[in-house]
Amino acid sequence: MLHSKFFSHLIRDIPTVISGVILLLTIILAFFPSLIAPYNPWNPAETHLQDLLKPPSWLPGGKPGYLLGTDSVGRDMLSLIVYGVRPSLIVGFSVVLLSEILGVALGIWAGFYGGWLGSSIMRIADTAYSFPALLVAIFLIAVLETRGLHVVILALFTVSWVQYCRIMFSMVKSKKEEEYITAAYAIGLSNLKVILKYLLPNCISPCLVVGFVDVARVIMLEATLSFLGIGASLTRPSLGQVIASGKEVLLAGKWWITIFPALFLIIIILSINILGESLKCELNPEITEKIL
Amino acid sequence: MFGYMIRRLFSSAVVIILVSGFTFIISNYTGDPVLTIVGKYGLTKANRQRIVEKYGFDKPVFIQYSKFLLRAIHGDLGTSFVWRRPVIEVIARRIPASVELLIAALFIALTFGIGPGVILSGKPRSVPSKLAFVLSLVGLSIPTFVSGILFLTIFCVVLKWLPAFGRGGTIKLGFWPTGFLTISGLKHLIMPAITLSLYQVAFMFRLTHSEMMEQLGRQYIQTARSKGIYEWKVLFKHAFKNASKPLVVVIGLSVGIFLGFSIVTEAIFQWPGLGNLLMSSIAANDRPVIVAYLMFISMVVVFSNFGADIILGFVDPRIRYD
Repeated sequence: MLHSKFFSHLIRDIPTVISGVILLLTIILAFFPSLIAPYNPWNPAETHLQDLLKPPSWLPGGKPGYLLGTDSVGRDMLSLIVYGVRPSLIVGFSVVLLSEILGVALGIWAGFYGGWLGSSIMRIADTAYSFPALLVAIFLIAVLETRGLHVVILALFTVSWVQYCRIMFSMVKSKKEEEYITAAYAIGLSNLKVILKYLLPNCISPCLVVGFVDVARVIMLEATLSFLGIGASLTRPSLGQVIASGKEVLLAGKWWITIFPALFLIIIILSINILGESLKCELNPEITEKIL
Repeated sequence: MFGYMIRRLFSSAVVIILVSGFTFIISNYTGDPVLTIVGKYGLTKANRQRIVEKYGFDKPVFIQYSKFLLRAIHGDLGTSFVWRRPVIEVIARRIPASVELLIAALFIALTFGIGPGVILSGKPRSVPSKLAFVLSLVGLSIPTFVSGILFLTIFCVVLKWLPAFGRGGTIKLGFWPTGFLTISGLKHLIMPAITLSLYQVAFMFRLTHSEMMEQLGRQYIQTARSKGIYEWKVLFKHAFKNASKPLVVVIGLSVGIFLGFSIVTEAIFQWPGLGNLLMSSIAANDRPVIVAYLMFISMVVVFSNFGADIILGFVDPRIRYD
């Protein structure tokens, strides 16, 4: 599936390369925020109560120590943004990973074995697919009554596995009658071996492409939940919460608390989308286009 | 066709009942309804006893639910804990604002998503086409709440062109208060509607574009072009007709997506619709309203998909309902 020609194609495209570099740097930042962040905003001892709502350092009233200004409790904006990457990425990647595993497994089961269990899985998946993900996530978080990163992950996972299940189901359905599968049975392979060795590798690529772009969608949803006030903990804010925390003072002209993290969030999501677009074009565009 | 519709109606009813059961039972395990009803200061032992007996909170949840379902069949979804009025009335008052926002957003998404998608697909290598493609990718990357905050700041706070909050003046058309017919109503509608539709504009543009590209590569298009038919006729009459099939499905699904994200838009612009009602009901743990709201949403979602399936049959006569 991945060969050298594939990468040489990707590398010729300048926006793709730039997006790749941005995403790589973002992931590095998520692991080592202190590389750039001058302070640790998650540590209450490092908030600067004497410097509330300072504008960016190049504007009048700004202080040289705070490049992008400070927020309403005196936290350095640059540090907040850099530290906020980690929770956002954790939610994005873990939700997609969990959803891929469950969705692909259930999709294979339903497509391969069928039966009443298979058809009820697909019934549930089809119904759940038509419900707005954001709404279901809001409801789940509201009734769970606890807050935290794990609750957000659980809620978004509940609404995200469905699409992988549907894609996998239709892929398996279309591939399982093909001759190489019959041939695999003819040489005496068991069901499990046929699935793992032949069906899975031949059906998974649309799921992987969708999953990659889905990381962006999940990060956006997480930010949206944070904005609505039902995200993870406030002491370790994700990018979405940093943006939301500036909402009240934005109307009073303190724009830097909202605008900088929002721009950064958009840049991350845009890079993921650009990379996803190139992936889609490279990996068998026909199949992915048909199913999406 | 008739049998199909009956079966679809039946399965829709099943979905709505399942949703109501799911939400009723889950929300039954959250919060303290007595606290919601009497408030912090009315929470005496005698009061609690009285309320629990009146509402039957001490009964098993399945009995509570079957009682709720029985009343629901007769059009009674209970009384709101917070508003002290029938839930149906509380929800019905909020429906016009949400529906008008949804119609406006859908209109923008269809006009600015599908229109350019069809027109620009005729010249995919031209500069406007490429520009629209880049813009649509950016549009897909801006979360709704971010564009909402940005619009609010730029157009309402800095430039002061448009009002920031609420729905503006309305005129009553029968029982339906509409904001479409007043200047202030329309002014208030612009920003929320654009915010809500932005993502969907980008999405529909890309979908239309890619479907059109696929159709334009087919032989019947070559035939049409070689006959010397006007290009716009080739695009709109020949290609678009065949490209519109997946669009119908997506439009059906987008109603649900709009309803989900209208919660965000309504929160930003203080729009007096259902989304705001849901958030305040969740905050106040107003169970009957939450359950009824989700039932209403599932009804809208199920029927918009149903409608899309029926329209699909007109778009593509090869589809047989059986």
